[in-house]
Amino acid sequence: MKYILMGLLCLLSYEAKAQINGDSIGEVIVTGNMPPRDVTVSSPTRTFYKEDMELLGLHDLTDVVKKLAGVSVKDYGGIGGLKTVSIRNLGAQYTTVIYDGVCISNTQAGQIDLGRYSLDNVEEVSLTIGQDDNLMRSARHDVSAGVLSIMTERPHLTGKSYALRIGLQAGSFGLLKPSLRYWQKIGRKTLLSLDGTFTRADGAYPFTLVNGTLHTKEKRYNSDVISWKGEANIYHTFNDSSQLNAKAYYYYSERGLPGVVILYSNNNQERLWDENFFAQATYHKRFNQHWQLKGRLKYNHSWNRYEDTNMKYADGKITDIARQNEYYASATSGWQPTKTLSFSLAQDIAYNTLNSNIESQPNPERFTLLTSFTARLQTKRWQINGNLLATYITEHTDMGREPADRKRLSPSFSASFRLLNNETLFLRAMTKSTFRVPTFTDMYYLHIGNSNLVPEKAVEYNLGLTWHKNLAKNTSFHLTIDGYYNHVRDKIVCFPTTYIWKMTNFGKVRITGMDATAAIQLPIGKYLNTELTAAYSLQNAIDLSDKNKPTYHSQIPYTPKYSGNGSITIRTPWINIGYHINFCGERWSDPQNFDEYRLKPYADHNLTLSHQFNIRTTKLLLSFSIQNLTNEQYEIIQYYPMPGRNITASATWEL
Amino acid sequence: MKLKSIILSAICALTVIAGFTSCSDDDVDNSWKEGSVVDLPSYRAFILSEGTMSKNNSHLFFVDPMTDKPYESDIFEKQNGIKLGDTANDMLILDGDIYIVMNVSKVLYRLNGAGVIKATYNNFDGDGLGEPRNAVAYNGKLYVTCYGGYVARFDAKTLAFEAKVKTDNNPEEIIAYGGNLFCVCSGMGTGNTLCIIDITKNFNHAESVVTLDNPYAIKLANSHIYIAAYGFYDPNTKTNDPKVGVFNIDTKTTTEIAKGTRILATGDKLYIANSTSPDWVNYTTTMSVYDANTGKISPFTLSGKGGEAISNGNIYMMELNPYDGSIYIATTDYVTNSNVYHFNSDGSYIGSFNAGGINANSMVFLKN
Repeated sequence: MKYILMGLLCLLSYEAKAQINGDSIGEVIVTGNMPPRDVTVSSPTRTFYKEDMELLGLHDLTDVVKKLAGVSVKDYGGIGGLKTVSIRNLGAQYTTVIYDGVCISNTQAGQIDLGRYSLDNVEEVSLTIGQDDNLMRSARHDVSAGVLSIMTERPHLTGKSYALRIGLQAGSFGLLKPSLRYWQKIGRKTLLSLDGTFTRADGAYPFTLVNGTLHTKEKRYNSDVISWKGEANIYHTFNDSSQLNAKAYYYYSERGLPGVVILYSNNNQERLWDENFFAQATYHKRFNQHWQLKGRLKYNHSWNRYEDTNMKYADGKITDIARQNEYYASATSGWQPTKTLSFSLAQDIAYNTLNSNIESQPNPERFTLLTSFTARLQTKRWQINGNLLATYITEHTDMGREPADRKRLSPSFSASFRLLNNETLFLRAMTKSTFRVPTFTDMYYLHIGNSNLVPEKAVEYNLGLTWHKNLAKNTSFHLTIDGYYNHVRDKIVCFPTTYIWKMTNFGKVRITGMDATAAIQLPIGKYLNTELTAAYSLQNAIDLSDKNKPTYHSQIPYTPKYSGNGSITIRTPWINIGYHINFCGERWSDPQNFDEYRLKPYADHNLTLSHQFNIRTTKLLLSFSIQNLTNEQYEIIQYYPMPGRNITASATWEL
Repeated sequence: MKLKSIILSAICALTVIAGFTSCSDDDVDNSWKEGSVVDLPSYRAFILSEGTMSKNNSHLFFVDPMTDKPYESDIFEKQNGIKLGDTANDMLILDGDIYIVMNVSKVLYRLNGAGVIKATYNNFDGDGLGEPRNAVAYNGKLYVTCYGGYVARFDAKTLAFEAKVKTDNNPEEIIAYGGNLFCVCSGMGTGNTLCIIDITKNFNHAESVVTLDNPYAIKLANSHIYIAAYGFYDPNTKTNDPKVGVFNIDTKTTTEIAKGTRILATGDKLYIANSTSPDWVNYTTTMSVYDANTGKISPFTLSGKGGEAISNGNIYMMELNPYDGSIYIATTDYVTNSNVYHFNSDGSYIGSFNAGGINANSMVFLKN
């Protein structure tokens, strides 16, 4: 019995009538499979769960994100390489990353390096393009074009007061990754979880360098990484059923930056150290069936040190050190006066600072106020959401000209309509206005920064169709198709000039495309359960910056016209098999769509075999994966080669 | 009898003609195009484009100076089967050979007159020199400025590294005059010196004198030495203040003469381009010419479609064709391939062509 039907959502295929001809019958519980959330929400959403990630051998967050339709990942290669996500090629700064309900921010660079987040304690990863459908979200959720949400595994203890999980992952290029997780029940209403992960890798993978007619075998050097991650969570339920979740998180890494492959000279010696600590707490109280409140507090500290050893510097090397601090508070109140109508009002406040060791660089501080009002109408067949986000940002620096305060109202609207009463077939539409505020780097970094920058503006439109069908027990399929149009102006780009590079507002981009996803769940015989998924995207992202330039109407860099992925998972009592493929069409590394900047299409095949052994009361999960099965030499970013065929083996023991 | 003497005379004449023909064939030296897979004319021009740093997209294109028509593809890649590399910074001619300095790829090439590789050197790090920047040829040697703070000497034929001398931080362009080398040192935006190295006595000392702030170029023509500098970056105005000056070799001082961003020295004249922008995107350029004898600066008018493009563009290169005195000026937007505009010495417009690469910075001319 998987789910119990509640209320009048009409998402099931079956009905039960409690009264026939005036006679009453006993309570009837109707069960069925709830259609995936991806199908019923008004904004395109895709969700991955822990089990799927394990079956497919997805070991880090980047692997999961690459499987989401409408998303492009800029992967600079290697285990420690920078990896950022961009929704529908709007840019990495347009994606809000949420970790257990609270935003991860990086006011310095504006983009989150996904490579530092492993999946060891992750329960669910979801991507929403447009507006998140969670009414009790913070105002920060509404700032960006989309939200990538990471939910960690909440302790679930049955029959015991503790649980321990020991994991070890090892693989090619010197990968070694032990992990530890401990859950403890404290009293009746409190749970504690502790997680720790250590990662090291040499990252020295071979690749083939193509230089005209010359093909040489090379190796990626200065690509090592060593990192530590620790996380502690407390979950407490009060007597009034309100809930408090608190988290402390620490991350430290040192890595080499192999840099771009330079022809005839490849001895990059850049290094990067990162340290991040944050503490966050969320509190949720439901006063009655009409009112609820959610609060969030967060303190975030991050430090990074960049070093480059090169004779061209006066002292033989340069060292840039930056420290960021963020103090953040958020409160969301929700009010549901009727069954069909609900409202929420979220208020966020954030204070961000940046300090660096560069004398000529200002140390800015930024105050941000975000107010977000959402109204929702939910009937049997309609869901309509309206949202208005008000942003106010004021900034101070200790030198140079201060930028003007920024104020903006950003509306968004989404709706979904169930086309047929007895079919899970929805038509959905979404429009959202967002603007991206320049980051501290955009504004203040050395000579590159430009404090006169205005925010970048984007408008998204989406129209889609979703369909879910339960065919039989454990057999279902679902399909989503979304067409979209996005327009970006005042794009913030780094422009070379006569003396230096300079951040400037330049550029308009028009993006049109289509994302389609399909999934089928199908049992075969008594022992086989299969699931097939596929995602396909078509995209035209056109530069409309300057009619007089030869790049007018060219495809913007790193935007493939088509891309997609597919997966097959087969569950049997003896072995589980997971296969997935990521493929990508040609794209160009430069605004000039010339042959010399063309990156050839590629397909990356991956295979995972796994089995869980139940040993008395413990579980041992063994998994073996081969990534890039066909050893394809490809690049996501030109001259940043991706690893060829490599293997990963892991063992996870739950006590 | 008469017929016999005519025939004999004809045979003698033919023999003499054949002899002359043989002599002419022996005199023609085609070694400049040895190994070439492209049929190039004896009168040639080559244009070098820097590309964008870290994109390995430097290019060398052949241009026919009679027609201003470039070859269909990169001539270096066509001749040698490999790419030029990253950030081609400088190019010069010596004894009919082409020398190219690759800054980020850290390679020094010697090519023949058709662009075929004859020698390379790529051990700048191993020999403790740092990234190469610019070069000058003098007395069969090549002197290359290196960002590790050195001027390195190479044998011009074999490119064998011979010696180095320490300079101030980050030497840029270099000239040779009167037994001395003169190189400006930018300190990557923080320096303001010029180093003088006497190469007739020894090659182990560089004298440092103050010049314009953040210098990047030094040019020589008819014993006149000119320096161009970007100026120090002002964090308050967020701009630089580019200047051009004249270096007095006797007093070792530099006198500012104008604002300018690119210079071309020829004879007793210095052409100055001053490209300015209010927003780092849109540019305007004013052209002027300095007379070294009178010290006067007057406007230099460029006419036609080319003149209009120059006045609304950002100048990256100015070169002179020594065979006809015409001037080539390349513009850049740092994103798309440079356009090159060809003018007569009086500024009248001749034609234009695409440089084949981003940031065209050097052009050389050869005649065999």
